[in-house]
Amino acid sequence: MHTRTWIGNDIVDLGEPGVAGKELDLRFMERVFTPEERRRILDAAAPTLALWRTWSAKETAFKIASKLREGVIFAHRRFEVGPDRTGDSDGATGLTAGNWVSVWFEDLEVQVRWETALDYIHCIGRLARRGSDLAPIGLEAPRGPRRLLAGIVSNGQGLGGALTSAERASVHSTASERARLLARELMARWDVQGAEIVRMWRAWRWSPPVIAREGEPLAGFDVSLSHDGRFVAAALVGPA
Amino acid sequence: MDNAAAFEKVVGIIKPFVKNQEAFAKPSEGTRIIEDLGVNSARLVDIILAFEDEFGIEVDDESADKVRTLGDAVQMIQRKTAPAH
Repeated sequence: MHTRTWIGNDIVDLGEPGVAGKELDLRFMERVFTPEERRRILDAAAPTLALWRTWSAKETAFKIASKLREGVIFAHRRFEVGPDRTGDSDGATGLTAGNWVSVWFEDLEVQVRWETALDYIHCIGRLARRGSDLAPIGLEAPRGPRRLLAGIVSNGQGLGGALTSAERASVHSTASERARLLARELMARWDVQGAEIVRMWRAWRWSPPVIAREGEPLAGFDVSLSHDGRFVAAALVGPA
Repeated sequence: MDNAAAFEKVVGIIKPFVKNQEAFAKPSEGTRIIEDLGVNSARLVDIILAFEDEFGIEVDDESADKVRTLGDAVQMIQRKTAPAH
């Protein structure tokens, strides 16, 4: 039985160098995507958007897998993204958010969805199933309803608050600091006293960020941070 | 190829992808490609492909995943270009 809801997220700045027309880079395509994914990307009406949506789905699933498994490497083709039947990848004329799409890695199924804007793609994912589970794990199970919050801010937008010394220890850039400030803003909705967003030392490396209190991960919560170019993003899950 | 020559080539390959020029002003073997230089993970794939082209090597996913610093890149390239015995 699971005691946590696991989430991941990834943001892609569509204005970054190397983003536009990446579907024409055949070596990149072959290194990162399965033949089926490549076919779907190239068949899409907006292949560049389809490519980065698929990329962000893999990144998101990788972040979740890294929380669950020791020594997971980002071997891109091993994270297989299922078809997106929402049609979002066919246009970039405004903010859209589609249905959940599956990403498989080994015996894990992660469900992702995207927010697609003119200048970014934001992907949020949640662990949906492990091989040994018969029933899907939704946001509603197993500890009662979950609440998923996500936010995106661009370089020009101010963020208030301050990081604790433990949080600052994980900061390696302005973007990583801003991602943590954003996550703290979102976390404030739960009013959890003493909670911090930190990385913890595990037997083999530092963990991805977790919400912790007094050095222990806080049950029922998870967090995921990302940044790219002009944007930082955060996603949190906790009690409804 | 000696370490210094490999390091210089690695720095040259990575240069176009670097966001944090300040950190790149004094690159060392311990310089972290993503955290210190601000290279994003998609550009890291481009860098790995550029290593393959430049050094005539094949970099599998496991080897690519271990490249965190400039020094890691140099060591990986040295291993893969070393003459077989």
